[in-house]
Amino acid sequence: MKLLIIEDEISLQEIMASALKKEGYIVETASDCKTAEDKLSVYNYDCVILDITLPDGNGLDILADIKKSGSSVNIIITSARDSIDDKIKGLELGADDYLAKPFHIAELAARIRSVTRRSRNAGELSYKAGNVTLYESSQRLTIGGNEVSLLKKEFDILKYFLMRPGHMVDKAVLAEAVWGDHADQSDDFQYVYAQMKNLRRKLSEAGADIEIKSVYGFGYKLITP
Amino acid sequence: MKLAYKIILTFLTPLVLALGLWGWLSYRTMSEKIHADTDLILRDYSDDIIMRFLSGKELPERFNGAYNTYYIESLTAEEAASVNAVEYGEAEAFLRSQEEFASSRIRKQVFQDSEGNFRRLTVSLPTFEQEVLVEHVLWWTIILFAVLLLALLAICIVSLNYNMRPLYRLLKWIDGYQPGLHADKVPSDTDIVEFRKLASTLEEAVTRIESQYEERKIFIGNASHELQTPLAVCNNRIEMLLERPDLNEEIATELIKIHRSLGGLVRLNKTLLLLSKIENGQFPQTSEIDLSALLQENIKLNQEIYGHKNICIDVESTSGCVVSIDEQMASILVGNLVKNAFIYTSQGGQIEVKIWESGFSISNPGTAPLDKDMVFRRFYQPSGRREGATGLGLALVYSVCINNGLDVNYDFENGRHIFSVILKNSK
Repeated sequence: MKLLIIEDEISLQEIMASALKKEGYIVETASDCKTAEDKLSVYNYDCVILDITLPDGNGLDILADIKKSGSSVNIIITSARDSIDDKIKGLELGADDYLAKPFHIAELAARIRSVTRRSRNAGELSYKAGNVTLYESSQRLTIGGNEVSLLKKEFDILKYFLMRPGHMVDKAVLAEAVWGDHADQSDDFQYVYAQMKNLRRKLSEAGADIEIKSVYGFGYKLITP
Repeated sequence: MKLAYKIILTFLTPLVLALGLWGWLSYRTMSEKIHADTDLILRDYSDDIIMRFLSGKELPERFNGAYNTYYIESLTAEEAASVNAVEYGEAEAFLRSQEEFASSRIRKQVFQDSEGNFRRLTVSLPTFEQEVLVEHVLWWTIILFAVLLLALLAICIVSLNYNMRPLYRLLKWIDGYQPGLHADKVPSDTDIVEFRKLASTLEEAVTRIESQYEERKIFIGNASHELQTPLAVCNNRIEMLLERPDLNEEIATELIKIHRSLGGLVRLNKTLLLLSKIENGQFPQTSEIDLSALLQENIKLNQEIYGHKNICIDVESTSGCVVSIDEQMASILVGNLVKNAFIYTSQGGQIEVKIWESGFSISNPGTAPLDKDMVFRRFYQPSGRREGATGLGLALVYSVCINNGLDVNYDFENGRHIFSVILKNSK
């Protein structure tokens, strides 16, 4: 699968490219609007990762041009301004997903997998690992084709891991991602352990072939078959 | 003091004094004239009597039905020498027609009859008519004074209000002005030079404010972009390092520590940006939000996170507390206060939450009062820096409150820190 990363921050572009290459994608890069437009007019891509703020223009214009040309390429927009305006504008123009900076590369990879698979899921974003599939907007989970019900927090935790399969997750980061800012100063993770215990139990009872393993005492890792 | 009152006051104070002086002087002049007239009548009267007396003509009836009376007495040469030839005075004279004494003006004149004997004629004229006249003059002067004053006051108010209308329109416009919101044009439909100047100056100032506001917004956007990207790159590089197969536990632990510190930096950056956004009034979209529901929700969440502390929560709610506020602002306000209470309550402590119609309060146990003036300042951390704390939580709370018409107060009572938030206009 072929990707185009349009990102003016060279260090970020480099790290995105190397991480996505590791995931098995063919990656091309562009640092400004002009290069991006040139590449888009010559080659075909499966997915474009588009930064909104570029040195010689607005990424949203590129997005509008792509959509005008009738191309069905998947587009994920990234922006440091986590403003709702940009997000709404981008999605209205036809972007498939929006990622606010700073993001985890692993999360970007999960989103790419998700949007490129979307056409097979009646348009719904989903995350898949082993026999586990999680549908984001309908808040459903299937394991081996069977529906499994999870509580809100368990669902959020699992989603976080499915976005980062095989990556180490710090429990403090996980806590903040799932419980929000409230958790940023807690030094006791009993509540994380409790939810984790229930989630692991539900996964193994439903016969999931994925496993959330503890690593080094400070984090977890999702192991896929 | 309103400008109109000030102008009226400075205009009317000297006017009242001048009019008062004028009234008093005219009253004095009138009453003196009346008294002078009385003395003239008395002189004519006594001249007439003396002339008749000296020419041997018949004297008029002493009590002739009129109010004036007279009598003639004989004086010795010594007595005549010891008194003034003509003397005026006030005395009680008997009025036969009225059968009573009345205060009168009298005139005494010494003269010599044809035999050379000294005589003194005393004529008197009751003064009640004059007194009545003087009293009338006084009353009319006062009435005139009052009517004139009221008329002036009314004219003053009406003309001031009429002419100040452009100024009031300008002031109303300023009251309604919020930077960043597309406001109506500055009202400048007046032909008064000063107000036109004021309006055009205001127009310039607003244009400047708007452009600075815009620049500041762009700056914040850029600052966020500039800072967050390198931070994200650092974060991602650490994460990539953590994936390496040759990693050992010792290095992984160090990397995770760096990662967590970096997380703190990201949080600090985000909070500072949020704070300046709030202070720029960039959350103008308000809706009616019930803070009591939000409080309950936050309490539940924190109870889960800080469950190991076994904190006891006591919620006393008499009614919902509905505030017109941006949704995100409301959750920052409530979230930070609740989180604060949980963080600073020790094992087994008790948090008390009170909710009423126009506000709420959250209290937690403490040992010593905090500095009231400092507690809402940025980076104020009295008990030393907490790992991972931004020191901006209460500054955020304060900013949200002053930008949304809420009062936030800190008190220390009976060994408890109490933070209360009260709706300003319904205390």
